[in-house]
Amino acid sequence: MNDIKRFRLSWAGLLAIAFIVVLTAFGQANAQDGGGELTGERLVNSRKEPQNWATYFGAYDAWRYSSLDQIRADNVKNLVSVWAFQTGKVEGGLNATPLVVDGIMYLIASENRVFALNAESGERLWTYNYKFPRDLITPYGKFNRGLAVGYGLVFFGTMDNHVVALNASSGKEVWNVEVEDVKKCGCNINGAPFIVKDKLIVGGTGGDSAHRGYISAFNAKTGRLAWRFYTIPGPGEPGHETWPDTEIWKYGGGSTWLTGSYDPAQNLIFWGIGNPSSDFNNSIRAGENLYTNCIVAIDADTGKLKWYYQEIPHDAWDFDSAYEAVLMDITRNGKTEKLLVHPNKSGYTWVLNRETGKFVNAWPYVDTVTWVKSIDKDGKLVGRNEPEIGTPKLICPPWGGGRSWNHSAYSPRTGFLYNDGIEWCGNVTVYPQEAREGRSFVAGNVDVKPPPDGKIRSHLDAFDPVTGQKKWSVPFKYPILSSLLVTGGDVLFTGDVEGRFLAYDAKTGKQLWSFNTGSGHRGGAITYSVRGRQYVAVPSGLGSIFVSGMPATWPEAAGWPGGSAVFVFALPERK
Amino acid sequence: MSEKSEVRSSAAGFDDRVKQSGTYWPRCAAIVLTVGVVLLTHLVSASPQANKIEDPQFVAEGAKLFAPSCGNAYCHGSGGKGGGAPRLRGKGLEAAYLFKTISNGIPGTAMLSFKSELSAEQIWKLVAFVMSDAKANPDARLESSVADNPSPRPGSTSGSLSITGSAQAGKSLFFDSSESKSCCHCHSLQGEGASIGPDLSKVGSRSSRELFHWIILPHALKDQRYAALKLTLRNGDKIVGIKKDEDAESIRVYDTTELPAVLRTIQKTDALSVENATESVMPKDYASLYTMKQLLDLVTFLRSAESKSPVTLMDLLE
Repeated sequence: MNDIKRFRLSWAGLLAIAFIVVLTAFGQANAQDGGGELTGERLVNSRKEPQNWATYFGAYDAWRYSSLDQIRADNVKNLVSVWAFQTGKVEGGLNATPLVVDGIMYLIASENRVFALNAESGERLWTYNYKFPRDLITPYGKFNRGLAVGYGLVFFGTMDNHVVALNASSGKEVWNVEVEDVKKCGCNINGAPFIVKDKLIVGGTGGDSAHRGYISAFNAKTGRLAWRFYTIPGPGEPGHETWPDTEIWKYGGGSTWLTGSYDPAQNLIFWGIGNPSSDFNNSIRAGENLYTNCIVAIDADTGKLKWYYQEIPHDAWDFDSAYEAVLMDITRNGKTEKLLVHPNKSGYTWVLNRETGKFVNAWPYVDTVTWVKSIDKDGKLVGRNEPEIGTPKLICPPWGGGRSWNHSAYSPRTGFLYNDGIEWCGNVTVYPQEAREGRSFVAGNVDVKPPPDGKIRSHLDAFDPVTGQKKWSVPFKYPILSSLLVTGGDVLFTGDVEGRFLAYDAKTGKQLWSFNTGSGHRGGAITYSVRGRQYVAVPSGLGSIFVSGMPATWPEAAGWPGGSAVFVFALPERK
Repeated sequence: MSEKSEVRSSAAGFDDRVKQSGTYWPRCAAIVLTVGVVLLTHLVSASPQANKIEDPQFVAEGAKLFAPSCGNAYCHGSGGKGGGAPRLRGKGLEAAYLFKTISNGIPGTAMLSFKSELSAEQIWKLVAFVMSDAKANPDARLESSVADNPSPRPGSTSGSLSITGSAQAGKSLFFDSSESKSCCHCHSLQGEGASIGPDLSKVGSRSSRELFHWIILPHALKDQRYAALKLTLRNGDKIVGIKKDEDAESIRVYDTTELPAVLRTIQKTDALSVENATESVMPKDYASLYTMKQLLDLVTFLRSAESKSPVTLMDLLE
């Protein structure tokens, strides 16, 4: 009796085990193949597909974190290079973050050259070269920061202000939309678009031109414009009263040159809006100048504003709020808060409640801050130190920012926000300028100067994201211009401007490994896995507006070689 | 390899990059310079302003012009020491080359043409400043001559009962990219706007009445080059638009079913039928979309290349 029972039980058990094995295998195969088309729904769950790096920031929360943990702090020293891919043209460097979806890497290089590569071998599957007018004036450069993938298409914005969709398997163009005439608006697209549900969300440059910024949403499959959110409200719209009663609102900047994040629970897109223009002469735009230098929360279906928070009203320093909006849920004193953590060009990080848009905290991520005395507990700027017309004034940081646009990273394992900072200042002078549509509208000048307490220097740091308490710090001679990546193996990756790809212990800041890729780093490293092997890919290739300006401050930078390649690393295969 | 030779070789690499690159001084710079040197003597003698290149007053005025337009760090940096765009100081750039480059810009780079916003004399002042000794002429100061804060004003509109078009208001309407049916989404004028429909740079010689009719009664337009194409695809989609081009495998069509148009690449194997239609794809509701005043603004703007006189209602009715 007992034996029979045991026999039955074990058969049932075996069946159950077999069933689980089959399911798991199916699940893995499915995951490896991607479970079919990459849709908006699948992207919402991209944290469940750590083998992929399917959106610009890795996931909608903009953490630049992957839970992959085959490569760990204790074995990262064993990394070997697996393959490299040369894009073939070094002008503009390689500013992009590659994407990997189901074993295929998609990469965009300067001049809107797009490549699909086998992510295991580096084998090139197709190349797409964008045809652009040879006489094109490219006001914001020829580089590109990234693309979007979904619905069997690959999407990107162009240096002549089009949005293009390619067939992801063939690389052939499917649709192409001109967003606005580049000759007219002095604007273009070099930030990565991203997919939310059935729409492709796209920002644009133009914040230092006489231009009115916006975010556009296109039907991803058809290219049809779905909605547009203007970052400067027009006559009759709420917020228009924060601009003077002139035509300046049409030329007031507020560009959307980087990439937003998305909270599926609220169906809200969060986007940091750029500086008002003219950048330095704020006397021609009396008022708060909404929604420049704001975080805006927009309904993903309609493009309607849900809430906004303006970090720097009536900007006079060219302090874009365009950087990444990092979404995290933090439990403090037994209470979980849905937060948005936002490093700003000004050297401050703002912390907001992302359900209400209410101010939580603002903390400096650099030591040298003189543009404002402090930010009070309600988020009010205290002691604004604005530049003046015709007379140079030393202000810190200068318009290059406490940090450039390259992104921070957040690890839910350590709970730290990783960021980098530059200690520097600038002599700022205001030169009033007349608005001419689509032309440069900066109205000022900055001479970079060292901070009062020593040389210009830089650092890589780990912070408590809410309080700003510094957990560790690593000094650097030059600014870090590549985005940070942190992993489930507690490794923090970044690259420096001289070409070293670096790995740190995410808990302690101890350097664990480095590899010289031969040209400086300006893009974003990613990690992914194919058939169970974890890879780390890093773009190498110096070039951008910031980089072009470096020799004026660091003469030796003129000798740094350009490049445009992706290097891929993994642990040695066990044979 | 010694440290020194390493440094030299990487510097040589950078020079190569400068020569090849479009965002730096263009690859044709050497040719332009040579031609420039030859032309210089001629230009210097031909242009009264060129003779003043070393005049301190001229240089000082150039400095004032340089600071806001050229000297911000997104461009050439203060005094021209380098920013997002290349350094200009200490490069031995020739006057003729500078004059030509400031005037015409460098296509393929971020360098705009300035001849529409600066006079030849102002450009020579910039040349004088760039060629001047930076130490003797520190960064421009604007203490005495800060411009009033000008901001663009809308074209004055007549408040009288006689409705009269304004070219400036018409231009704003034409290029208003926030409206889906604005002209600029399909048409170009003097090089600005899209080239889906006909270029309108030369319609200024047409009568006001004719232009008015074109706008409000576009189905009367029968230009075969812009005739509608109707495509039916295997998946059931129907597309109406204007053909851009085709190759052996695919056909590219500006889908104007809704505006702004989307340029679609249709694989020929995906198309069930392709029909040519005769009527224009231009929207047929401009008569209700715009007020009479706005229509007059548009007509006045379209005619402005030929005629400076504003179009009135009487011009259309007579």
